[in-house]
Amino acid sequence: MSQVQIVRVTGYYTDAGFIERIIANFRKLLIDVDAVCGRRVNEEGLYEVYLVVRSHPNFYIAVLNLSKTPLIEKVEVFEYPRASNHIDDRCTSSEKVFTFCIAKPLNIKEFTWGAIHG
Amino acid sequence: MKAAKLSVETLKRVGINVIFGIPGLANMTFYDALVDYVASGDMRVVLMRHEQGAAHAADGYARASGKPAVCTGTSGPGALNLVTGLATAYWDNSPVIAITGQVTRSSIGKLSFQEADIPGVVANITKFVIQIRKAEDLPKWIKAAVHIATTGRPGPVVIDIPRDVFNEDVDEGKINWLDGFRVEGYREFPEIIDPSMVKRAAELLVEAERPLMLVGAGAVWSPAVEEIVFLSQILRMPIVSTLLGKSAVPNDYPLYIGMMGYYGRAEANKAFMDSDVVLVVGARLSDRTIPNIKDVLDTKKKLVLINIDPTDAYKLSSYLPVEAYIVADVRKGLRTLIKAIMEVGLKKDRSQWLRKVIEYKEYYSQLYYRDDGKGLKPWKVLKTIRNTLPRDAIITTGVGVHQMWAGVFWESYEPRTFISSGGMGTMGFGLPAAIGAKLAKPDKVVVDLDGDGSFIMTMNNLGTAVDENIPIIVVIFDNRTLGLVRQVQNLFFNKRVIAADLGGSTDFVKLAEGFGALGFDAQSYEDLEIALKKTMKENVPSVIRVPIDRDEKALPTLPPGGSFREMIVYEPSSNS
Repeated sequence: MSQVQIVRVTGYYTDAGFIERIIANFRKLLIDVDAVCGRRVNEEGLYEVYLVVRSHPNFYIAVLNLSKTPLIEKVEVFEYPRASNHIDDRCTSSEKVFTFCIAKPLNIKEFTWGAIHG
Repeated sequence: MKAAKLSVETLKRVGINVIFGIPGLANMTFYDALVDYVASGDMRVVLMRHEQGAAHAADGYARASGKPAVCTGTSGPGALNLVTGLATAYWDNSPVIAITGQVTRSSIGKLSFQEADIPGVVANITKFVIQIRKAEDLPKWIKAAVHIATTGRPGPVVIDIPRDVFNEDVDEGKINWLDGFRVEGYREFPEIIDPSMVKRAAELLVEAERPLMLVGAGAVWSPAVEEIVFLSQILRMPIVSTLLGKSAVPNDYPLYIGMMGYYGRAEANKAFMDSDVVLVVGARLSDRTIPNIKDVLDTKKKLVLINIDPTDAYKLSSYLPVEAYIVADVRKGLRTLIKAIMEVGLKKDRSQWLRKVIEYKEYYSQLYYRDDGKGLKPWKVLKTIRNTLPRDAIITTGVGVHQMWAGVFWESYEPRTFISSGGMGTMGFGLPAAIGAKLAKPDKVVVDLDGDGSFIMTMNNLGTAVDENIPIIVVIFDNRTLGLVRQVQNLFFNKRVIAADLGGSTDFVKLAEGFGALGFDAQSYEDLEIALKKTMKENVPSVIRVPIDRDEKALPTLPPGGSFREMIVYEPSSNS
């Protein structure tokens, strides 16, 4: 199985271009996206989008670029002790279209306009 | 109030008073609303001859003034024609705002007449794009566009407005002008001024044997001339620049060595190679400035960054030896650093380092400034122009071999007086950018230093300059070839020249006269000086054609992907 990274993007939706913008950030740096899952969080238009993307030397450049994209509030990269923990096997019988099960991360690193936390 | 009028009124309230563009069906109501504002003198509408020119003109206006500028086009082809200009502004961080007409909301997505998915097209070549769905949102997004375009790392923003939105009536009592509003999900970059990092930066520079300052476009936008010169003086630190950073420091400042990079001055590249600590001020270190990162790594130099964009600091730190950084506006960053340096104390004499740099300058001058008396030499043409123009004249350039000559040989003395398409390298930029710059700074002489190939790409806008009485001067370095293409084919493709030479049929003097401009054919440096003086006196749009031998090369240069160690400084067999 290919090495992947899990990213959570939080931002304000104006139109569906919001999602395109997120994906394009990875596409422009030659990074393939394995899975995307997102939803509206509140009535103010805040969305969260989870992505599973292939590991790539350009990964952090994409994250940094995305973190300074208008309407994007923050980008979080989930870190795990082992690569195999990325996908939660218990999720296999779940609805896979919109349910996106991931293991509890050891730590969450938050990127927001150049400020890094965690 | 009609939404079209609401748009114009909001533009006026945010300080916009010039719009470059072309009307069409989808933005007709917008133009109709402009009629009253033009009549009252609140707004000037400049009819460009192609929308690419409108985007470049807005870009030129923005770069010359430091303020946001607006261009517009109708739906479909009109808006699509803006694309090259928007990408150019994005790569060079220029706050251009494009208002594009769109087909009606009910027609969107149905392959309607003159429909194009502009949000989709420009999403990745602009800082931000928004398609308006409700007329009452117009004030919010126009204000947001200005805010986004001008803050942090500046860049172009597109507002796509469907035709029926322009036609809507908005209840004036319900208009929210949104004073003091904020855009959700957008914020300015944080300042990161870590005292220990600042101290480290100061110590590195104070202890350096061969420090060098590299100034980029961020130092022009700030600007920070006094701070740059003061720091250079107290540390006895030579300065090099990027192409777009040329006007960040007076080019006749004795410690300014010149533009470095792919086509940079040899002494600037040599100084960069020899330096042990480089203070990078407002530059993102593109592949044009540092074509081969081995030149940084192999020479074991240390970098100190001052940059408004924290992500640049992180990205550059991931592959370059960045020892310290200050994330702040250039001027503030420099002031912070200067204070820290004064606290650390000055220790080094550095006369040896300065002597070496001066020796480089003198040595390479012998190679650049040659004249065999056969034809006009680019360096001497530029020297003639420089000596004839006022010190604060604004220069725009096209893209090509003439642009590189300008980068190497032109001397800028004030910020925002050297305007060129750096990141995108867009041919045709010079003329419309000059139109914009002249409107931004009507009291300054504005000259487009252009090439014949580059000029031809947007020369239709000469009609705009004439009809709108915008007295710009175009100097065409006419070598009848796409000079850089020819040079690369000659040097690196075994002289297999193809699709480069333009032929001799175009008469630029007649072309100028056909548009109603003055045309000059300068066959000597004296002709050039006379033509410049005459056109400045007449104060009308003019074109001065200067014949240049097509084998004149843009030197120094590097092989593609090459190192500064492989610089080609001159051709031994060449007459120039």
